[in-house]
Amino acid sequence: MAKRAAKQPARRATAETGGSYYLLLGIVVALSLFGVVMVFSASHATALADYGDSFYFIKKQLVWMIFGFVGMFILARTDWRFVRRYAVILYVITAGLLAMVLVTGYGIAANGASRWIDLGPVRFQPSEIAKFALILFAATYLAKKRESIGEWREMAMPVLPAFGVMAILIMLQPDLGTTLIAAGVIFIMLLVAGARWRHLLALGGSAVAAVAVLIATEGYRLTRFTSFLNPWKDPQNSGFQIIQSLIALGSGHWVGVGLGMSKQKFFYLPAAHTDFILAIIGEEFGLLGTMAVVVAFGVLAYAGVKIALRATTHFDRLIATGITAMIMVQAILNMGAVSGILPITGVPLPFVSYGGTSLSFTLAAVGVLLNIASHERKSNEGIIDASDYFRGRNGRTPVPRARSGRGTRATS
Amino acid sequence: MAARRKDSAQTRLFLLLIVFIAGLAAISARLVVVQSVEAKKFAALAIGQRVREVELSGERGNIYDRNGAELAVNRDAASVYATPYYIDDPATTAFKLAPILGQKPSDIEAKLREKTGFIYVARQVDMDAVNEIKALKLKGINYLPERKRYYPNGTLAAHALGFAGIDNQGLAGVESVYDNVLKGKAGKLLVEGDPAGAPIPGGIYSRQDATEGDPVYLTIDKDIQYKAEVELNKVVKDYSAQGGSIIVMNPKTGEILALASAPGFDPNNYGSITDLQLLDRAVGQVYEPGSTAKVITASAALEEKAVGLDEVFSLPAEITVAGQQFGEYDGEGKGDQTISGIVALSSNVGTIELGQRLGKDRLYKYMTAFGLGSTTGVDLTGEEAGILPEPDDWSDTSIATIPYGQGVSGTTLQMVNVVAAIANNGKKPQPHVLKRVDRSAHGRASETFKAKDSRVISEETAGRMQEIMIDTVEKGTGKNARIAGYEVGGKTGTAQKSGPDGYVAGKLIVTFAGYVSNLDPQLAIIVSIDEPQATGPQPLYAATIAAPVFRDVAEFSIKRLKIAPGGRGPR
Repeated sequence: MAKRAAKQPARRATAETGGSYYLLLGIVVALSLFGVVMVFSASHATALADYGDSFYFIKKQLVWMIFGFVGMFILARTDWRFVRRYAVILYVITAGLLAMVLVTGYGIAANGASRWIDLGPVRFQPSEIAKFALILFAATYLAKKRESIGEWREMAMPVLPAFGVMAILIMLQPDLGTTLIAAGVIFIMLLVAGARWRHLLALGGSAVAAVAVLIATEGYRLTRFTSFLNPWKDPQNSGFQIIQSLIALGSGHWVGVGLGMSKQKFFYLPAAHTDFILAIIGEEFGLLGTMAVVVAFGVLAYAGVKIALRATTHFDRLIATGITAMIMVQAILNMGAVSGILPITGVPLPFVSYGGTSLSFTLAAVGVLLNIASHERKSNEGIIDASDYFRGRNGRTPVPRARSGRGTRATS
Repeated sequence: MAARRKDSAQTRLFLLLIVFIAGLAAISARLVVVQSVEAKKFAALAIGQRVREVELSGERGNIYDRNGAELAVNRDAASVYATPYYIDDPATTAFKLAPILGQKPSDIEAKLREKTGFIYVARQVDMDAVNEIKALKLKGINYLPERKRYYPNGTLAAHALGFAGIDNQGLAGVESVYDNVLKGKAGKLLVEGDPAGAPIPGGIYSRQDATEGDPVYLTIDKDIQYKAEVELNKVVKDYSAQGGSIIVMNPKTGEILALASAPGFDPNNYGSITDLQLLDRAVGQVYEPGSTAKVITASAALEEKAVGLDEVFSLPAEITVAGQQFGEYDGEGKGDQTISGIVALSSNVGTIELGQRLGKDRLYKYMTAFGLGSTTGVDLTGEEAGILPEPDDWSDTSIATIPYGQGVSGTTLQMVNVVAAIANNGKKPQPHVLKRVDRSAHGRASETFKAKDSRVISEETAGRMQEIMIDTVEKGTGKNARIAGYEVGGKTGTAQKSGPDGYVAGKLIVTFAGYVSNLDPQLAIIVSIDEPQATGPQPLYAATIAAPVFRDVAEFSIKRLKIAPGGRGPR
């Protein structure tokens, strides 16, 4: 089975393939198409006011979505695993791009932060790419360390310094949201890679401390961070966006005011078509609409975790975990901010929010997940990896795998 | 390592899934609360911040004079408002607007820094200034068309007209008294808008149009009003007076043809009017009428037959009442005089004798009947009643002073009404400035002011008083008021102004009140000058200051109204 998978990496998903393949594909297609509709609904007024063209945003979004689906299709049917060899190079290139953003002349500043690179016709956000480069880098190295990850040094090197450099570059933009996502993804990948609990606890503790310092040192972050706790304290400034979001959600009530009938999108709710699109969904489709989105992400989480669980190799599992984690952390941060239980960190809602780089790369990443899914076993009864250290528990004889080093578990 | 054995990737991935689901569950719980339990609260907030109620004022009715000349109209203006959200540089924007709007840049900047989607920068700005601002093409600055009250004749009839405020509400004068007629019925606009105020497609929108106000025609004659103002301003200036007032009235109907008060103001700039300018001296300044009041005492004495027409009084220079001496204004005895001579020569001593014959109750009755102590009810703002003490409150000397107009106070309008009552054969008219309300815009007939007059003295007494007042003009103190070919009767009055410590030397109000008739009473006119200053050696008398002004205004009115000559000449 594993050998067959290795030989036919571009195998089509067939009836044999696990249900998570179609589940994931269905959810992602549905969310993306719904997103396009909602982006148009939420953006046409702003687009007309700022660019004189109601379709300004939706046209761009559609082009990026097509790119994303093409990327998804290709990656789902291609053996992309050779990129492991270039993980370091990709990492360095991405770090270079991040550094470029900070250099005047390349970077484009918007809202007090420079996040874009302008390459003539194409503008993109390197931080969106950085997340994927980091997942690839971490998966590549952590997959090699499945025996030695119990050692602090083995676990930490080189993944944590690699994350640290990127985190600093991203924080210099500054972009707290992306940094938080990257931290969450790395933490989850370490968890699934088998890091010791006490190491994870130490990392989590220091991450919380770091975030606290970052928030405390920058005035706007502190007000942003604390305003979600009581937006009514300053409804015209720091609490404005969350109050407008809650007004949109509340106006929707059970089933909403109907598609296209949102009033809050008329310049009351800032970032209506980007970070706060869920509020517009809530206004136009009510609790029904927001619950549908939340459930969709729940199903996506289930499918993603199941794909990771049934991945045929440790590397695949870590990649699947990383991508699923990235999507889910982002979704939770976004929806938590929109509903007012988390601070606003400027994170878009995956597949739904306006944002070309994010949409296309996330769709392409889903292609990777689909590819892994198409190789998955029909059950999660053990991984087909000779050196899988879960063997003991599953009590199965592992199927040898060419590239995997066959070692024994470290014993104490 | 033994611990890790139990701790498979499978377990960890399940744990991860549970964490994800828990996060989503927390979000769901919050969404359920916001979108069900709290939904109504937030929906109400939504309506509250998006729906604005705007009052639509109807076009204010014009004001015309009796012949249809425009006195108050409306013209295009605009309110300049800002949407501060769209203004990137409030300081520069304020700096550019300030000189055009005549405001301080810091005041404008404060408005532009408000956290709101709509704030007025200036209301009812003239179109010239609006066009100037439009040419600057300032971001976040917009305009709302409005109609602004405009008084084409500037200061003319300002006190009678009054003015209307920024929301076209009447604030003084006719604008205030007839505000309900002029303003029409306000409409209402309910609009759901974006922060800049633009209506949201599909949002709440309801419009209830305003009903326009009805035009009003006044009894004022624009030309006579103009003449009265010119003459008043001239005499006030010539004698460096504090001010003054002139009223021209039709004694039969009570229609006020002119009502001038100096100093005046321009209602187009009502924001910069001082209290002194705003004071309508014709109806709002209370002073002791002095000798003009003698006609009331004489009327009462004749009506009550307390004195015979030909009864001769021997008048010394002084008379003692309650141990106090009262003398003539010039200190000279007036010799043997009938009642006619007492009035014509304005004898204080003679008038005191008339008063003593009447007694305080009868004198009080006629003073009240002629209108002292109560407002005339004229349809203007700021009218005062003056003070006429109750007989019980009179001092021992009141019976000496009140007959000749001291210890009692009234307004210029009250005094012209006294003369009008005598000219109108004993019937006191109701003074008013509204001629009619034109209801044609609403398909209804005009409403005409219905004035009611009231009899004060008999026609016979009135006729005798007319003769006495003619004598005053022909032979007595009112010679300067004579107009060839017309019957002119009148009475001078020179009263001392009283301060907190009694009468103030040299502070006088000089008055001439009279009428013009051609056997049919045509005009009742009063001229009152407040604190004229002596220009030469001759003393300040009403005869020399106010009477000539009366004549000039009367002659002009005669020509203007084409009053035919006639009436009784000198006897």
